[in-house]
Amino acid sequence: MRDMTIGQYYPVESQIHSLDPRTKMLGTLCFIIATFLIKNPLAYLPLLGIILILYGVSKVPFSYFLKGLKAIIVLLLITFFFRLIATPGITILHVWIFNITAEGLLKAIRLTSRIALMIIGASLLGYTTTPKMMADGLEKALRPLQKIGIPINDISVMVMITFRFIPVLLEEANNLMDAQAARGVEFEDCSALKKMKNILALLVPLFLSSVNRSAELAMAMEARGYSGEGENTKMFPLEYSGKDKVGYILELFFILSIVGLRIIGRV
Amino acid sequence: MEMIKTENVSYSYDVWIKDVKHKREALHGINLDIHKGEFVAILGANGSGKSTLAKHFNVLLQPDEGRVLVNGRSTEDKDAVWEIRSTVGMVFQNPDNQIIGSSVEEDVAFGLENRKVPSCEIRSKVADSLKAVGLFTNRKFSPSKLSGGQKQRVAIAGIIALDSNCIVLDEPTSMLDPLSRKELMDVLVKLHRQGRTIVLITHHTDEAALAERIVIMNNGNVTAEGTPEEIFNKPSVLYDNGLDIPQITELGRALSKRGILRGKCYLKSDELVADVLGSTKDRRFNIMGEAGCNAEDTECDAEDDRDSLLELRKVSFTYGKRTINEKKVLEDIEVKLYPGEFTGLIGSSGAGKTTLIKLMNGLLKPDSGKLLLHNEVLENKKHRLSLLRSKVGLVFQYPEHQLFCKTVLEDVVFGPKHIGMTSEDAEESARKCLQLVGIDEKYFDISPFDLSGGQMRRVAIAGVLAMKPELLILDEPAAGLDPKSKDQMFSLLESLRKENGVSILLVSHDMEDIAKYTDRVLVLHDKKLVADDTPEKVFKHVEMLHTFGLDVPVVTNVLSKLQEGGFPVKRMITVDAAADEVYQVFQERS
Repeated sequence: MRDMTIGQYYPVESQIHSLDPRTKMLGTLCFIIATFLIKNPLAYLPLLGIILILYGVSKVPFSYFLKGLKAIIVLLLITFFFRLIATPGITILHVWIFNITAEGLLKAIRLTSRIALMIIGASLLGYTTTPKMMADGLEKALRPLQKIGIPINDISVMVMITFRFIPVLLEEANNLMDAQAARGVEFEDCSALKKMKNILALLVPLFLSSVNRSAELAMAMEARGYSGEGENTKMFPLEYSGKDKVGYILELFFILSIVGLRIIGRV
Repeated sequence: MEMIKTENVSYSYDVWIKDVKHKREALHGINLDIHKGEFVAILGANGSGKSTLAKHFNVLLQPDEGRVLVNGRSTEDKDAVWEIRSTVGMVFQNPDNQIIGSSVEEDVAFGLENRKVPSCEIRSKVADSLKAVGLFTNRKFSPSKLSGGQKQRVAIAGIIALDSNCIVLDEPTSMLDPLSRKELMDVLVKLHRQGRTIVLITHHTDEAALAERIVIMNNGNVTAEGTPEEIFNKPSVLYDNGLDIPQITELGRALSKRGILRGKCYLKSDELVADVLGSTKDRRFNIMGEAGCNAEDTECDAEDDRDSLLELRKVSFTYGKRTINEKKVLEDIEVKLYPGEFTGLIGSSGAGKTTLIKLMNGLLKPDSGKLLLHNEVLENKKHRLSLLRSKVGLVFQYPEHQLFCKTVLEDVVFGPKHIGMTSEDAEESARKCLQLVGIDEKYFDISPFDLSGGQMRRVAIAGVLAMKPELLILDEPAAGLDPKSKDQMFSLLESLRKENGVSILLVSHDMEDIAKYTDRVLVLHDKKLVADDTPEKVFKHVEMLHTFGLDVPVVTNVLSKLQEGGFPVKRMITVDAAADEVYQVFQERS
């Protein structure tokens, strides 16, 4: 809880950083769809290869790649374990009370690979795209929805503010944990029930300060002429460049080949 | 012509006391003119109505009675709102709650984007305004990487970018350290010179001294108005309004009383130094180059054989051990704290002060080294650490933000109960401590959130005191308090020490407070404890402290400047001592 940096923007200049956020978001989407289309466990390896190449191009250090995985390692292990033992089929191994089936092994590998690849792919988007770019990209891509009454402008501002305040609230939570610990509260080494009870000592002040913060922020935004109406101009308007064309072509090629291979049953 | 004009402005808030709506009057018929290009300071204690007034300038509030005119247009005119908000920009107290963008330049662009300015124009305006506040090189930074002062300058840049001619700042420095404060004030002075109207809301008289005109508010009324010289020449007016006078003015008055200066009102230390040195020339003062300041420092410290309360032996600490973010914060810290002491801990931001106090209270465990409580080594075992936590109370910055219980009493009982006191003992201790911090019994059963900010802070301190600590560590306990509340806070600490024998460790950036209240100062710099002595001796090393990014009390600065000018005074740390010293040297030499 004290260290949450997964998916936070990593500021370097690279080919991937300079792509339009919409290109990157579509790419991430394609990648995630691909992980679902693929059934053959061995076919996840080329997918891993592709993402490793992309990490290389993006100049995001390899340690960040591992960091994304480290954070979900428990989740992956649990998923793997239960898929392994809880799938009916032909038993290939019997350990103590657990029945490991061939189907179970296959499904376990498939599911953990999917989750892992999805997280790695989505973190790459986070590492190479600022929240503002993401919000702008989302706003522009979803612009048509404005016509049917969905307030895309407001949503994009909300997304941006959320990203902006994650580190602020995290720091505040940490400060509160220290302050309450100084008053004798244990947050580590104690029973789950007690932990839940103690969390209350964090939640109430955190909630109050968030409410105060949002009231102040709303005032500051109003003072700076925010009205939430109409389309604003942008300091850096999103514009596609040649790179994005290449990006889209590669993405299209990638997803079509996956679909094609799936149809002929090769993956 | 008036930039801002208020005519008989009255305003009251709705407050809820026990579910009944009450009106609390915040402003009573304020008449105020602020001229174009003027630098006005609105000075007042907490709750004087100064912030409420400021919110009227930017149409964040509408007056109940009377009207506010900005550039001749009434704030009630709905069509004028945009124009007024483009003319008058506002900077708020909390730097974190007004930055919207996730990078510096995005934030500055926010107002321009709302005004639908074309992209290329946004870029050039953002660049220009960031250059004006000296943050152009940091334009791609995330706000979380900036100091509080830098964040406030980002907010100012956002206002300049809109070509606003008037900047209203609502206590912009109250959450900043002295260095950031100074940087911010420099920016304001510069912007004023460029012709902008500045309205500074504050309770710091030394900041108000930079303005052309001071308006004092109290209880929703304007009680005094004039140039800084006029205002500071009448200390009684300031005291009556819950304010104090700047230390430099106080020193000038003390020297005038002793016949060295001629009763002028001093606002800048350079003027005072020049006048003192000038008067020495009148008297054909025999200038002595050597200023005996280091001579007496050579005395050897006798080994202290008192029983220490808490001792740190060769304590080191590293954050993020064995990760890529590994960072050593403290190295071989050796210190002994004794019963009944009032110790100060100073160090620039990032010197490791917070880490050190967390180690002292067992919130963090040292990598190496030992902690001794009453000469007994504390092992890193759990019950030992909880013993440490009960003996060493830690009050963080803005402790009022940690309150969460339904009633004041419940909140104070919370700590002692958690360290294992019985309910009866805990409650008895809580009642006693609440009375000690000056919270009346009638408040015990109300919600802590219905109290004023200063009262909430005292309740939070009582919450730590109720655990009966022998050492109380406080991190900036006076942050954001006006002079009167600050005095109350320190007299509370003094009485805790004298009457209850609690040792106190005060972490502060305010060197005047350290000089005035502590009898020992620890200086942290670059992971190490570099000085441990009486404040008189520590503050003599003006140059050394400056290289550590620390300041010395205003009077010490004046005396060291006098020394540089060839006037052989010793470096004193309080106003009276300094005035006496100057007087004595005059007597001896002339």
